[in-house]
Amino acid sequence: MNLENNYYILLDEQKVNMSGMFHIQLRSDCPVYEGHFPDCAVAPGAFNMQLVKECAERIVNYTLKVKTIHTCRMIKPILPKDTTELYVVVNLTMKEGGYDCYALIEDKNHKYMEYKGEMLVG
Amino acid sequence: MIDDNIISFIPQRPPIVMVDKIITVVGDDGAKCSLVITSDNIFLESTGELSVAGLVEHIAQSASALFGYNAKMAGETYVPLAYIGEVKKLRCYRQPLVGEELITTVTIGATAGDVTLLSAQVRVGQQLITESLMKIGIVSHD
Repeated sequence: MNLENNYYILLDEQKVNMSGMFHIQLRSDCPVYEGHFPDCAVAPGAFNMQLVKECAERIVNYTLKVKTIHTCRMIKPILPKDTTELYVVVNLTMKEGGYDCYALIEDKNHKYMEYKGEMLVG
Repeated sequence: MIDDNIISFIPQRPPIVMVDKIITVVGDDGAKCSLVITSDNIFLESTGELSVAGLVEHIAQSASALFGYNAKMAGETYVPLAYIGEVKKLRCYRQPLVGEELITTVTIGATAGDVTLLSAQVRVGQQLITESLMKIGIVSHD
């Protein structure tokens, strides 16, 4: 599933060279919350990893494949009842066959996820 | 094969159930679980491949199924809520396709407080397609 417009709505994007800041709004009516979890909606960490990939693809304008995740720390749970707007900050560094990717998901008060990995040209 | 509905061992519900069966459990030390990738899987990409994020969720839910199974065997009436704390050293050699069956081994390592370190290998047939370390947090309450 493409997460854009299903899990989140892109409100704004600012791209400079191989970096980007994406202002998004989580959709609290996303069906994933029926199962994650039935009594307490929590944004799936795996969805947020996919969100980073989709933002990285917006920077380069083509499909990327995740090859390696060096580390992805879930710093703070994202509860859609409390947090709806987020910034996804992505920095790519070109390397042979793809990119090193460093990303943060944050808002003005908190950091929620930090991601370091490699993505290949799809 | 553990002869029970997987839903009784994990807190996730459709559309984000990412494990079908527990194949074997080795006490508290690990488990082998499976998932057949269907065309309605929520983690499918437009290429027809399961995303790496989907593989991460599958690994986490395989661990969650182990924790849930052991809680049930201990007589608990609830299954623990397990969440991804950190993914480390993940390498994806290829993304699986619709119709393929993932066979995943999770091996439990050190535990500190509510956080457990595990290693995981995901295979299709004999082919290793993904391996990773993961920190899983566990919330044990009704």
